[in-house]
Amino acid sequence: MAVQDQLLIDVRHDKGTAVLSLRGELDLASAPLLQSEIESGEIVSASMLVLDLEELTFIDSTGLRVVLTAFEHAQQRGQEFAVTQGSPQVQRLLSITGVGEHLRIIAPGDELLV
Amino acid sequence: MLVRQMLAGVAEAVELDANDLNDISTAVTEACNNVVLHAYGDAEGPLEVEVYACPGIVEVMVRDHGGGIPAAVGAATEKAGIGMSVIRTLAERSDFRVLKDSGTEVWMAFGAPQARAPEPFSDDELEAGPVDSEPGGAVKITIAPAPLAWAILPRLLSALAARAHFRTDRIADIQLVADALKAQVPASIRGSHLSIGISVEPRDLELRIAPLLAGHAKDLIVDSAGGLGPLIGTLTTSQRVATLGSSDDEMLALRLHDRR
Repeated sequence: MAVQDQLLIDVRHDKGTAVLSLRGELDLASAPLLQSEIESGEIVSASMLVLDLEELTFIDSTGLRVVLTAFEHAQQRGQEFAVTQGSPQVQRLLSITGVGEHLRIIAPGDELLV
Repeated sequence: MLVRQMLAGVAEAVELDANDLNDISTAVTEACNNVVLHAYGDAEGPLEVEVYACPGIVEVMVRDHGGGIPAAVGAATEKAGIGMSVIRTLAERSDFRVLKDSGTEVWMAFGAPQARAPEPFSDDELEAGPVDSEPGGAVKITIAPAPLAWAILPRLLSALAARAHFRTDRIADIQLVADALKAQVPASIRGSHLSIGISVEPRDLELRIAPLLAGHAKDLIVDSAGGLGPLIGTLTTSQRVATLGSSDDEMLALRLHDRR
């Protein structure tokens, strides 16, 4: 399976908010895809960045690192940042690493995603 | 991803709870990441994964034969990074060991109260035997009890064939080979465990199965009543039998190529 099939990233913009919906697995192989997408000009210039993790079935520490780096960069440029809570495996990794405590976590039906 | 698919096969066979499977997959992925990131520098090298499933517990060993994993990665220090910390949190017990010659082992034991014994199963099937080194870039999986191997082999081969850009009809051939092996090989396994070695090149795949009883590997590929001969001859590109070290045990190697 190609990395592009392993992780699908859907990007949409609405009123200054960029929403990246991730579907599949975010791991050592696919993390560079997300890293590259997050660093694109349109994402960087948005006033808010939301990572929708609801359809992300698996994340490892390399994927988590990309999410954390995106959060730190967003903070540095004054951009709001939020993630959805994700699958049980995603929630578990966010919890045991303590990363979840630093992030704004929104509900799957939050108006930011509509 | 490959190892996670293998673990999903194991989980299905022993009816592992979904949350337990998530924890095991997460921890084992971190151990494999360490091998990919640190063990061999810019070169490729073998990755060995051993899975031992018993009622109530699943043990996994991830091993490399490189020299690059820094001691700090395995130590309980801040330098250890998220990966080892995740392993320690999710595994009931874990151990990081630098091998005498070269390489490292990460051993993890996971409590899995709902895990049952796969069928057929008996106490004497829990003894695990030694494994041999694999050539560079290969994946080697040792699994006990041996019947568990049949839960993972079809999906493992499919995943690897897809990764090696095999066509769909050739992947279907590979499934037929896996089914034939599942039907015929169990009677030829010596001992309680089965080692599966797989080397992958673009549109080329070699599957190695050991240890088999002396004389049985050859019997499997000749055109005999209990053999896989006609099917193997038609669907595989080449077959070979090798004797393992000083023992009489045998290895059966089947090469599959996707001609275009």
